[in-house]
Amino acid sequence: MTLYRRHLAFAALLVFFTLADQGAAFAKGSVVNSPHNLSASGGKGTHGIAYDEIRVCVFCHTPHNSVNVSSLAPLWNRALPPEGLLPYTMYGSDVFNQNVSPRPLVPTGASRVCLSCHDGTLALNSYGGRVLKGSGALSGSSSPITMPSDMTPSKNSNLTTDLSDDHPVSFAYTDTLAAATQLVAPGALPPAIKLDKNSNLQCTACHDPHSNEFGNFLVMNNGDLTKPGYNPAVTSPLCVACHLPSGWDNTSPHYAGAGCLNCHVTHSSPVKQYLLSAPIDQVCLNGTGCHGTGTPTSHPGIAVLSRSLSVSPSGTAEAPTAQASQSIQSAGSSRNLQSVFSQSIYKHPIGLIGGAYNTKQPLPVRQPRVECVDCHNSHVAGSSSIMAGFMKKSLAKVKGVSKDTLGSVDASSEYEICYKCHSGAFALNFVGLNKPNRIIAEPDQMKRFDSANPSFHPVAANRRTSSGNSLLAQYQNTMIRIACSDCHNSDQSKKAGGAGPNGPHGSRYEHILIARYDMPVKGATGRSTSCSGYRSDYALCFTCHSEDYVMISGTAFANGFTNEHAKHVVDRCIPCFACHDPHGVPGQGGATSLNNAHLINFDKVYASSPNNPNPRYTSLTPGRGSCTVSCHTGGSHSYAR
Amino acid sequence: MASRSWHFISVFVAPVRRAVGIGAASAVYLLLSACIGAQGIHEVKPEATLDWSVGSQGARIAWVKTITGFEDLGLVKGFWNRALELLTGGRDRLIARPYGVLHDSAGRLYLADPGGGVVHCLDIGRGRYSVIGGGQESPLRSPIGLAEDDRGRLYITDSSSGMVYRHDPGDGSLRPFLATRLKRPTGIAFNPLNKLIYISDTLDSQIVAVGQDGIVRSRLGAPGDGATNFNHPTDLAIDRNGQIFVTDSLNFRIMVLTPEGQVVRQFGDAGDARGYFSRPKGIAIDSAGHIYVCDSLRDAVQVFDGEGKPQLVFGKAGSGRGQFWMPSGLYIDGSDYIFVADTYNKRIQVFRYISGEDAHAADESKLIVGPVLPSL
Repeated sequence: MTLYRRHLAFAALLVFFTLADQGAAFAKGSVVNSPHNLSASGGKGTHGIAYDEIRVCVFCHTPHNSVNVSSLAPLWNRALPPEGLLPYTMYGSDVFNQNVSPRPLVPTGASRVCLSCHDGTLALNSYGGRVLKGSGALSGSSSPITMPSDMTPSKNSNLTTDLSDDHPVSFAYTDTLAAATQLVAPGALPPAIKLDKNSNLQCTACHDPHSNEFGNFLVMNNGDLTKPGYNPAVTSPLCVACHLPSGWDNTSPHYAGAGCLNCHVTHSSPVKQYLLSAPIDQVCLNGTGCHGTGTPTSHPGIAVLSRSLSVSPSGTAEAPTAQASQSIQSAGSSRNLQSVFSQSIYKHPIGLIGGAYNTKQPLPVRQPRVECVDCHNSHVAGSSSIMAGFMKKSLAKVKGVSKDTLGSVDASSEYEICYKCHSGAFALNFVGLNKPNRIIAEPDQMKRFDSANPSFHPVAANRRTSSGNSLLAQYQNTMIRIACSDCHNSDQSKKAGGAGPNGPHGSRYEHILIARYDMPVKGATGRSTSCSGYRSDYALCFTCHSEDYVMISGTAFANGFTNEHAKHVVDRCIPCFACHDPHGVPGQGGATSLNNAHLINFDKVYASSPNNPNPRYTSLTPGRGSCTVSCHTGGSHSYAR
Repeated sequence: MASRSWHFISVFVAPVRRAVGIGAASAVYLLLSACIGAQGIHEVKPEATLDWSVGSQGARIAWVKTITGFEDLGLVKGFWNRALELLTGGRDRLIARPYGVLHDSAGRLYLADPGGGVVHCLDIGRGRYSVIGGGQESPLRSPIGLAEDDRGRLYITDSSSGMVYRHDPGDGSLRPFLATRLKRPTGIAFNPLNKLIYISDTLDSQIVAVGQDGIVRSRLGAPGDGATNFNHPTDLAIDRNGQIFVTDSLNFRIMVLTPEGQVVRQFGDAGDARGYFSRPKGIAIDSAGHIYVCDSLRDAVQVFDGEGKPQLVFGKAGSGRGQFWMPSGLYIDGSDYIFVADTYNKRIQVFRYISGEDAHAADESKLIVGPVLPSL
């Protein structure tokens, strides 16, 4: 042994004894026993450190040269690589791009050493992508923990930039970044998570290449019950050590199971943006299976028991059973939204437009695109910790447009979420299949529900005190305000009397209506001469309005003792919507109380003609009025009670 | 109504313009290609000023160009884009994380891009850029190594799926080549002497010799760090004498073997000085028998002579000319053009070895002016 080698051996032994002093940590998490022991005897490892075992370290730690080679230059240290010049977007979502500065250009620091092997040659670079089916447990606890490689081509990261489907690295984790993006401040990170000496987040923040005691070389247990330090009360503890979306705690129904990993995948995620496990329009539904018809699964590589979603998240974990997935469906399909969205063409068209989703788009929205996350905050939905105010739990902490400020706010009423898209200058982009064709046609719903209008349904403002005579008796005093989802809802929903989920997701009725609002065809079955089935034809209206009042007696639309509503609807099969505008008639569009009381806003298809292009209604006093419409020849046609 | 008919006509304007454009572009291209043709890749910018001297007698390595995409192989820059788009419909892929490089005998430059899951084919001779793989049905997941046999067929190793594919440029087919799957095939090279294809199976720490019929003839080496062992070998190169050069990555050495598998020599050790490796990857041999090795973590290429004595280290960390960021693949073609896959800079850099006798010859590398940088 040359003198130098003897020194080296002595140093190695010194290192060994120093490390051995740390007792349990060395024995348990030793790199010698881990897959990072790449020496000839690696993988299994031996406990004693012989001289040759120094080579365990050399695969990642480049030693200075020895003097055993002639004609070489003396030692020097490697220079730290300077910042690269080419823009190399390693991970980019709109949140990341807008808040991280400077953006990481190329991998730096410790991440370089990791990536120099994990490039698909010496080691795989596809780290356990998509979920496993079934219980999600790894088979065989005695088999060495290897990087799972996904053999299904569709799950491979065939993307244009490699690292963009992985958690971002090589960027500065600063206080300003933490404040802007709901992260823990760098000074408050747990000691296990270390930033590099330039306060950059590198692979080494989450991975300790020397110790495999938590699996996947993680620095702490990330919810794996087969590894030490498992805490059943906290799911995804490694993720939440840095990431703190507001409202994310164990009262949120998404917290159970694999926590963050229910929807997100850290490496080689199938969807680059936000590292989702499925595209943003599918991840809630059949992508994870939770709100769809699939089987909810858990993250691979971690033996997490998939909890029954009917058990409270803080309950004890139970053995994985097939019923864990069926409990969603068996709870009366109240969470199965996949079937609601595929029921008919009348729905919010999620997934219609692909591509990157922009969370920071200015409101009201311009591009006609809608996804689940436009109306729901996936971290907070269902949580009881957020003070939701008057909002339903499922709609808590969602951005909306307020009618008072016209700016984007955390919505405090349901209609403010709807106004995100259905108001403003671009509201016409969001009108459904039939464009409005009224005398005063206005796609901006904010204008239609404005309380200064001569008449409006009380969605954004309370009902006027003198109104409401036509309501059913039980609502006369109580129904001061209604919500969009009182009329726009699924026809299978609990609100409609069914068992499905509430909400304007989809319906068999046009305009996503909860009940029928439909013009019967004269001559169709059962309607040979008259349309007396108005109770079911216009079930939507008669949910709240009294058909006795409207059709029999009480309404001011009467000529003498003849009920004009009945004359129009029953005798002539004229639909409600030929004359009435269901939302409201916008004063800003020229509506006046003289011509547009009682939600009168003629549909041009029915009421106008080339001879009479501007049909008009005039109400003089209650019980008196006249119509100049193409239906009645000879000028205006009046009624008097 | 007038506006309507204009709209009607304008629907046809674009395709007509396109057709005229194709005609014009093809005509000009054909004229120009006769002049420049397959030397688009060798076009040296007059302002290139980097080179390094190797050994003595004026031999040196000169920086030639950087290729970040198919546009960089232009005949005339602006014209090329349009011509290409008309020909291919603008379908292209960015270079994401290149590894293997090959400049084949027909002048095609192939880039294995495991980051994008494709193999880029920049066919300078025919002026066409195409992509092997890509798309949902593509079998390629992590293409690493490239080799060309004596019939012009391309071999691609896919480290993630364990498959080796053969691509026929004539009909564009991509078929599995080996009957069996390897554990993790990475480096691949064709031996002109015995017509065998050598593939390094990194996980098994073996070199597999395969005939052109896809049948394994022999397996060389075994895991270990002894004189006849490998520890995760990656890249392979074969010189014109049929000797096989293996990057024995985790033994931090280069092994030189005869085609039968006898070890001729080995050199290299773990370290950060000249002649030592920290993460050796791509390997190639030039016409004078120098051995080039990409040292990925060192962001440089090390040059050795035929016996393994270190000659030169060129390149350093960065994104400029002559700088690398974790380079991996390496290839030297018959004219001594050196192609380095500058992986995390998402590009290929081209250099040229100019031997001492050619230093004064009338070739385009005379355009290089400026001081000779000292060897690092």
